[in-house]
Amino acid sequence: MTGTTKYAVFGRRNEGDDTLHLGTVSAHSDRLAKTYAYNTYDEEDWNYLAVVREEDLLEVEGGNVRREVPQ
Amino acid sequence: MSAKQRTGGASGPSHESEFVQRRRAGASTFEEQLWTELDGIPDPHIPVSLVEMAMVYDVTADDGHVDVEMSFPCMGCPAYDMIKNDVRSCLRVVDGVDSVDVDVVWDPVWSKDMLTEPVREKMRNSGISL
Amino acid sequence: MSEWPAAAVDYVQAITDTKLVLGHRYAQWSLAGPSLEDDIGGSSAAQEEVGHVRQLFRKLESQGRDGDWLRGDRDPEEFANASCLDAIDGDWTEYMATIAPVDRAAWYMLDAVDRDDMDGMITKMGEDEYFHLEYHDARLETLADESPEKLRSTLAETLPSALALIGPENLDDDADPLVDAGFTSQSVEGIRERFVDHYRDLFADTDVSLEDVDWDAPDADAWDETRRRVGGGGIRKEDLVQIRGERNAEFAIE
Repeated sequence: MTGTTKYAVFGRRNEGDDTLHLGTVSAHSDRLAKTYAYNTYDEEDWNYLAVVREEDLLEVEGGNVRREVPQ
Repeated sequence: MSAKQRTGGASGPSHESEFVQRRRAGASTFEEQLWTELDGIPDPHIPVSLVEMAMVYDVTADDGHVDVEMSFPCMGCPAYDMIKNDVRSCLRVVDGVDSVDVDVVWDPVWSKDMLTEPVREKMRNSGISL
Repeated sequence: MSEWPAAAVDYVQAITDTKLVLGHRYAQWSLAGPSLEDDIGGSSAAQEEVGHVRQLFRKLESQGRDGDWLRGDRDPEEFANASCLDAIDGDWTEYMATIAPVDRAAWYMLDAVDRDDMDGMITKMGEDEYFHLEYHDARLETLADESPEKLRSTLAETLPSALALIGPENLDDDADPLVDAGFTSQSVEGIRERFVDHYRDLFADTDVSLEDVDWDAPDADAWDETRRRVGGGGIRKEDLVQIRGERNAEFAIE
């Protein structure tokens, strides 16, 4: 599929549980990503389910973070 | 292996939500026996009983005829007919039961709030959570 | 259960038959989506529609409709499904532009039913429908970018068909027999307005023109009040064989 954005999917089973990274979905829009996440991860009756555009994740360590003091 | 064993043993009052306890409260001794029988039927998807799943809403017995009111977490449940058959088969063999009607109702709408924490724990331990 | 007016039985029959054929179309197209997520959503919707139909059949049986007849022992011309579901011969965009308005129309009609003994059932169905309709709109928005022309031409056919399912605009608060009987709390005219407003808003800022849509359809004089459509036609024989489940009869639980 072209023109899609990758979204990370997060969910929590019960209030007070840790919010877990469940996986990803790729979608053409935020609205579509939400429905994809709902349908794809519906094996649970989630207390909380959310998607985050992968580009909006602010990396702190790992990934593309380089621990170098800027010149 | 009995249905009771398949669901992983007894499901005493602590496994029943307030909703089920309220529904069960007015049961006669015979109806209480029927509730206990139904508590041995496993949900086909999940290792807890239909009573623990709060899917059984009411059991009334009248002169050999039993009416069961039950609901489903999902309206499109693929095991819909199978579960209704399980309920009928389970009660028909009980002494004093001649006929069984299962009525599926949607009021109140089933919700996971009807489950107790011990039941959720049991499901979590099996890798399933609602 | 108390007896419904005859017009109410026809009304619920049309919702039910539409959902029956809709569930069938969801299933038929559930491997044809542009992504796995679309297919998963379609399969899920198919199962949910079948579940809704199963419960609506029970209500109709309680009003005297024969169970075997309901489950498919009848001719295509006896089904009161939305006409645009009779056949979907195009591609996935056309499929989406067909099922989306119909699913929404059927839900609005059901949501208008005002009966205490159906309240819980309808609430439960609404929980499923929320995600069907959200998904459809999200998909129609992306398709409006990708294939505005195809969407325009398909909607010009399917929106009037969905409006015919809802009913003609002369059935307003004063003339709608179901409102008069207290069976529904919103007239056909009210449901139409909700439906039309929704699609006008959805496509307002897109390249999809709705100028060709006949928003006044159906013509009240030509409208078949039992089948809730204009003109004849019906699903194909092969659809009927599949809906009856004839080839899978041995797997059915009696």
